[in-house]
Amino acid sequence: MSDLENLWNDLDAGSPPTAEVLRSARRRRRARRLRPLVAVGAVAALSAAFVAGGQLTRPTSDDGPVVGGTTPVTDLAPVAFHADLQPADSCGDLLATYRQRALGLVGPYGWDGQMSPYLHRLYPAAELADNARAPAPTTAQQGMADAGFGVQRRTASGTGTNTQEAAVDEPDTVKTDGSLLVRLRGSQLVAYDVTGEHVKRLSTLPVDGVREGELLLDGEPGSERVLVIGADPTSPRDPMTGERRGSRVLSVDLSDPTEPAITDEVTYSARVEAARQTGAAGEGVVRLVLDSGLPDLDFTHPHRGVTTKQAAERNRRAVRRSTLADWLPTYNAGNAGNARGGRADLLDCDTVAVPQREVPLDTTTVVTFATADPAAPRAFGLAGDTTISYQSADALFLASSGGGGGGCFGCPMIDTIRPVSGGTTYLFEFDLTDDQAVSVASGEVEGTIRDRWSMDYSGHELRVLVRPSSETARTNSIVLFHRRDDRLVETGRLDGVGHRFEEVRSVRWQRNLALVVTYRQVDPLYVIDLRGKNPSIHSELTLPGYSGFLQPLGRFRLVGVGEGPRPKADGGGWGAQLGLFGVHDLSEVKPLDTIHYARNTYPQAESDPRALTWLPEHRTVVTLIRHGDTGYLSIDELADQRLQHRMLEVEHGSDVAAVRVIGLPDGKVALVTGEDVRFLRLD
Amino acid sequence: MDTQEEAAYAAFVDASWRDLVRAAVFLGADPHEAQDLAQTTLVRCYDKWAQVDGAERREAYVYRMLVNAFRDNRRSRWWKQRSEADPADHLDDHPARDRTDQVATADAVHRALAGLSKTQREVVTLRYFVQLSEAQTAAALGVPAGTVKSRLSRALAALARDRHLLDIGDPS
Repeated sequence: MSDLENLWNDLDAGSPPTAEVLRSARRRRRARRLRPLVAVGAVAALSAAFVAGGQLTRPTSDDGPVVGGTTPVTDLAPVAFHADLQPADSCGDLLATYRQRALGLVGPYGWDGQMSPYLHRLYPAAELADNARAPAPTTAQQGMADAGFGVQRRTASGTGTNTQEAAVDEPDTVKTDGSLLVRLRGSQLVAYDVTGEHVKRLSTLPVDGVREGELLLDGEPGSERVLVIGADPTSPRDPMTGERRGSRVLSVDLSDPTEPAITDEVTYSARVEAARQTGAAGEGVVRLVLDSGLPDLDFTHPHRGVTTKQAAERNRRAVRRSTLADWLPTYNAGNAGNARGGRADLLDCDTVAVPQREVPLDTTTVVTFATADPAAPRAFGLAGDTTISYQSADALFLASSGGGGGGCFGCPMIDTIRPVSGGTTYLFEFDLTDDQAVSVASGEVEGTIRDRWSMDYSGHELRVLVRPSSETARTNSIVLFHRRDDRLVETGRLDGVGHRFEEVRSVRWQRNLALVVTYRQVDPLYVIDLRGKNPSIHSELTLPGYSGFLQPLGRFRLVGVGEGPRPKADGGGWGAQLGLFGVHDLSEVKPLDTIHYARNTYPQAESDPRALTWLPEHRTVVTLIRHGDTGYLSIDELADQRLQHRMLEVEHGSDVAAVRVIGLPDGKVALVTGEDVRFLRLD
Repeated sequence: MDTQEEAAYAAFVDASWRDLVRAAVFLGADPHEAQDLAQTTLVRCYDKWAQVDGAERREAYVYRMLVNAFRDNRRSRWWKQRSEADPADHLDDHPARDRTDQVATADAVHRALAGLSKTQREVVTLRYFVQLSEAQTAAALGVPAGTVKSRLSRALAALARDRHLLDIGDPS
């Protein structure tokens, strides 16, 4: 809608005649008081629909905070800062703060005053949009150190995974170091030798203690070690989200890959929200971000003999009787078979920091351990929901996003463009050492951030892509922060990324620029210059459809995978598409070639960056395209300005998501499907 | 209305003025009429202001009043007489240059939206341009949320066909 959008923006209304409006309104009210009440009826009836609860629902719990109210809509002041995280003065004080904050959240059915920490888990982004297609999470990547103003190539991490940061590895279901390839399939860890002409299966190890697990790999070839990280199937489920509350880390020794052995088993009473690995081969350091969730206290609910008021009071009593054991996480580190210790507290009272009231209530724990010794973790916590975490090579950022003081219970959880009111994102920065993370600064920004891809740290500058909250200007913004003493201070800003009502679909951070795709019916691809004090829009390319995932191939080429309208000549309709762009001249990004897939196809990379692989030595992009129940690999080789394209059917049903394509040394390419691993011939 | 409420109301007037005027233009008013409509609407809302609870509801309420005021205008004889007048007659009311630009912009908007039905136009204006939520749009227009969805998608499809949406060339 670009020309209509421009017309909307261009319309000038003059300055609001507020004084005149007030005068007329007061005059009118005085005049109306003299008329019979009957004349007022029409207006009263109209407004009654809004007052009595018509179609806009409001929290009904008398314990929950009220949303809205009489706060006037004001201009948005950008970031303010607040004091550092501080631990409570004593265990008693810490418990008191938990209880007090919890009292404001509990109602007749238990936890029902605060939905916001669960919003993004109960209704992941894919379900939140109305009128739009299933949107993708934002994806981002960090460029290499030294570039000028240009696009830098991004390939997989050393273990074969498409990660957010080059120096920070992330878990995946398949890992390799070039000679050994390990994959987790259900409860089985399978090891393969990928050095020969054909892939050779070496061993299969059952790993029942972990569900929905993923792997981290460390060690030199010949002394590899794998960590299997996932949910603890024996832990209770969180009634709000249905997820297991506890998690488990298994350490497997693969120095003899034909005889893998579990050497450590560490169980946590909190859920792993993120896992990352840094450090040289063999000296890996793992950092986990754990989320405890709100505890299952002895809650009741209204039933025969217990009124709503009574249930609410009983639940409040349960909160007042809660102990630190309910709020703080524990862990159990034992060797498989010989319990080396029982359950222990993961946190002490002086290693839990209490942030401001506005951070939604929860306990977030950052755990650090060496891959060689997962049974000796070090941890610190935050008494709040700061489970959005972004880690660069040198720093860790935790963010609480946009829930503010209470969310909107019972409201339709639908509007991503105008999210839940009261949106302030709190940011916390930590320096990373080998065995700990140290709190160094904190800040805040109006608006919400969707996930970790919205943050980027480069050259001591934190960049945040902020989505509108109901209190702010209604466009997306990029905000820059620098650390001054213990504050993250806003030092630059670009508002209006994308036109109104456009949703950000993907972000790619590079050292000096960001590539942002927003979408309504057309896909503006923005090149944003991050060099100046404030970011600015360097150029804009508009195409039908959108790119949900961007992969920079190198200085000259960028690939965008997404969806769009199909050419009429091919039968029209809507389907997946892959676009090749020339990015040598960033003031004019050129569309070079587009592949339109069949009607109703979906590009898996839009929701999982690991579904796309760029193989520079073959000049080929391989990405997974879904059509109904079937998964196809789109294999596209760069031939100057065009793509040489072919499709390969690879999987069906639930195994489609397990497909991985991984580049190996000597130009070999491993194709991992549901059942097996084989080499993919690309000629 | 006490002073605090009045201050809130004044702030609301400040903040929503521009969108109200623009929405009125998108609904079909010319710039001068749009300002009248916005002003009338805000004045009418004053009485019930404190009773409508919450920013979200107030917004929906104000837009409902605006849509109704616009519909009333269209129906009344006064409008029929005015529409025969040349919009350029109003040039003397305001600085000449601004006026022509605004009239030209409004004309462009009306031409672009001419292919939509009245109800489609209302939904596109409120949901897409003003950015009311689906619930607010439904409340403002007095229709179910599902109707808002379907009207909006038909409206957007119609605009796409007429190339007001896709202002681009062939991507290859």
